[in-house]
Amino acid sequence: MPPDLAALQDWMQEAILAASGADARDFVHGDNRLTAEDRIHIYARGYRQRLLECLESEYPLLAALAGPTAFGLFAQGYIAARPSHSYTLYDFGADFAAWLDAARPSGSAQAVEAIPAALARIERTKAEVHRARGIERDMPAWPGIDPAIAELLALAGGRRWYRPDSCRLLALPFDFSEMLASGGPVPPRPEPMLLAVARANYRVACLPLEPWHYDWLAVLPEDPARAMALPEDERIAAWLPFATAHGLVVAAG
Amino acid sequence: MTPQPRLGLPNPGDGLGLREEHFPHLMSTPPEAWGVDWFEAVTENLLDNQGWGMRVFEHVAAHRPVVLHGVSLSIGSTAPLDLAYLGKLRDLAERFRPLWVSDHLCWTGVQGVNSHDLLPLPLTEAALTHVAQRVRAVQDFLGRPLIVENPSTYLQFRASQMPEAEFLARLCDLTGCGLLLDVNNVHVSSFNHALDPLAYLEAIPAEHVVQVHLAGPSDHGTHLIDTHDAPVPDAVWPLYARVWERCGPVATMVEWDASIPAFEVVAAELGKARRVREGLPLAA
Repeated sequence: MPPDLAALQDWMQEAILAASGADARDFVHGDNRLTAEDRIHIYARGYRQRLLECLESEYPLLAALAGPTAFGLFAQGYIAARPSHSYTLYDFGADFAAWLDAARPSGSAQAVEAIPAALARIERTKAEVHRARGIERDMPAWPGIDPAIAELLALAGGRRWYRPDSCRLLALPFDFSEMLASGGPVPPRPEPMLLAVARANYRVACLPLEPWHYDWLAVLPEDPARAMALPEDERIAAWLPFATAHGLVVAAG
Repeated sequence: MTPQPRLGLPNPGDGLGLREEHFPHLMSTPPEAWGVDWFEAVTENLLDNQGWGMRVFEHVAAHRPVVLHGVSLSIGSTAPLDLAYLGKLRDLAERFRPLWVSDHLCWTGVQGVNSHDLLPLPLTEAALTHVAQRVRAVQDFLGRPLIVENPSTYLQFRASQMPEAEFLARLCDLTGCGLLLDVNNVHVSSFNHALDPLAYLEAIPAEHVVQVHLAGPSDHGTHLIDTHDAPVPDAVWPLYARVWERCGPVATMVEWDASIPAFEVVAAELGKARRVREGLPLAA
């Protein structure tokens, strides 16, 4: 590795991350249009803008609820604290919810300051479910599972069930039902909410759950080889057609 | 022996970048109505993705030739090559058999950081030796030639010892790699550094040019930025005409990555490229 090249790249990356034009004239040509510092700042602005747009794209509801100023502060704090270490921008926003939670003032789980992290958990989960393996390749993928077939599956009481990687469960300190239903920035209610984020026919949906839905889904394995029989619970048997049609559970084999 | 044009790789015709905004169109329109000969997919959009994006790519790849275009190879970095990334790229290439695999003459980060930008290299003898060694390593790993794209740049290093076109030509000589000649990037960099874009094009080894990119930059007065958010500007078309004279026939592709309009609007840029090749005015 050429030492001069390594030193130059160390310097330029530091200049971009710190948005600093210090020493730029030692390394970079300037001219009557743009100084050396101006030219470094083009890269520094582009770096922040790209990562900001990545977060805005992954967290549109949070961006709408917080507004551009507050969201910009969240994003700039995260960009400064957690530079990307992955070959893919998809990974960049993975820790945003945890960072928001750690960065907020300490207080109750239902303090208004806790809303951004909770909402970010939902939106990150949606992104992960979008790219998960899912169940579409294992069954007719298009135009979709007929609800009647799903109902027949539900009647097959002897089958064993698992929860695919495209179904994730969230226990949240706020009720985001109205926001999720409207798709708009409606403030949540300070009440606990159980939620499944699941994909069926390549469409991701957020589905509010009852505690008994959640408890059953939570014990189901992700591995089809470890699929479990239905519990003896009439409510679950009755709910099974809905759960299969929305990709919450799958019958093994 | 006379070198083969395009390193012996095919000319699939006129292509477009595969973008999420166009997925509904591509999945609801018969392939014969797409009006596009081939597609370029961004490698990183496919890695670790088993969802809808991969499903659409499978559909497109079943009906048209595809190429994989990366942004994170970081061929010019002094950090070690990311073997995990390369392994996934090789698996993807073995699965879909793209016509070729491309990335940029740039570095994206050091010390484990990825800036997700295509950062410029000092054009020095030492950098050339370094990049050539890494291109050879990547080609050995992938078992195919790497196609290297010229980036848009916004600065020039005092340390540089040669023009970018010479750097690329010598890289081709040293490694046998191909070139993805981004004509818009030549326009952007030439404007930003007050250089002659035609002189750049004349210095490119024509037989190594495997693909051409066209795109629209944004004008910031003192400089251009490679934003891919607009039609191909008028200044780029004469450069494309010259590239075609020297390197054609060669795969031509339009990139549009922000403020993306309807599929037909992007495809219309390929119609302009055809008119330029035929010596016709841009407007029908």
